[in-house]
Amino acid sequence: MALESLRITDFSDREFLLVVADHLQDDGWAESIDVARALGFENRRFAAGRFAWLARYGAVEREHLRDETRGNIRWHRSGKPMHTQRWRLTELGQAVAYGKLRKGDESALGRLGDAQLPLVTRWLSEHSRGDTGMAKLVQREWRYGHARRNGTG
Amino acid sequence: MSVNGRGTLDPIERMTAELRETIAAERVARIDAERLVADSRERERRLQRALTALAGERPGVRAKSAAKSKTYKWTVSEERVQEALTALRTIGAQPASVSEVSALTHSSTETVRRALDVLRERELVRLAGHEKKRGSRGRRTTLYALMPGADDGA
Repeated sequence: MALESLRITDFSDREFLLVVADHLQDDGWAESIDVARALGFENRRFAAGRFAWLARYGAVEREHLRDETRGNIRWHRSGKPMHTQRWRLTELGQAVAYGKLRKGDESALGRLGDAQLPLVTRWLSEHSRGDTGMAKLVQREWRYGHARRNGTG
Repeated sequence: MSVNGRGTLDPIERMTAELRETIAAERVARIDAERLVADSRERERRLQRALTALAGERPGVRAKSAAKSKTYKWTVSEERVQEALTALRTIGAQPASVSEVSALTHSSTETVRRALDVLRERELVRLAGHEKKRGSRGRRTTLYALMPGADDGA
């Protein structure tokens, strides 16, 4: 299945973060072109969009460009910091990529009956509203899961 | 591994170890052979394209297109899905292509592709990227890997 784009309905954030983790270099950063090529694209711009969104939600961070002599961060005239094309997972990104439910939580969820599912969904909706990074990532996970199961992915 | 009183290996254990090694070598040989077949098919396709361009000749095209027009809707069985998962667990942490999983499970590539799609929906398997096929220009094969936590058989 070749990817034609990196829409959330085709490729989950978790899968993307794990591909980034696959391409981390020895110093812990991954080149965006390596990630793009691994996903079948010859241009880094195909991966850049997903990187930018995930950075906004706090799941990845971009390496600052530093001067070679003192290692200080370099700045654009506009006052924004300069960046390289390398990225890495943040703590939140690691949690999304590698996080696991505890056995107790898993069995508690497994015991839920059909009648309780709408209540759990309501609880989840209340806790994933808003613009925080984690809320957005939960909303995207929901979109990905449902798009695939409805056959629209 | 147990050692008997004379300092030699138990013959049953020695035979078991030898058999395990032979099975592992056989698997590697089968994967290599599968790759060679895939390369050969790719070369044949390219030669056929050249022939079509030069002579407008395309033997077997009617039979193939007629076969293609019949698309059956079918769902892969749970048994095949579990076989594909076991094969990926055998391969381990490194990503594997559909043909590699197919070689291990003795299922067709289409069955394996569908089984991997089911496993991907269950979040047990992920798309790990694309790799250029050997001996082909631009054609890529999709690689799959286990999701973290899916390798423990739980």
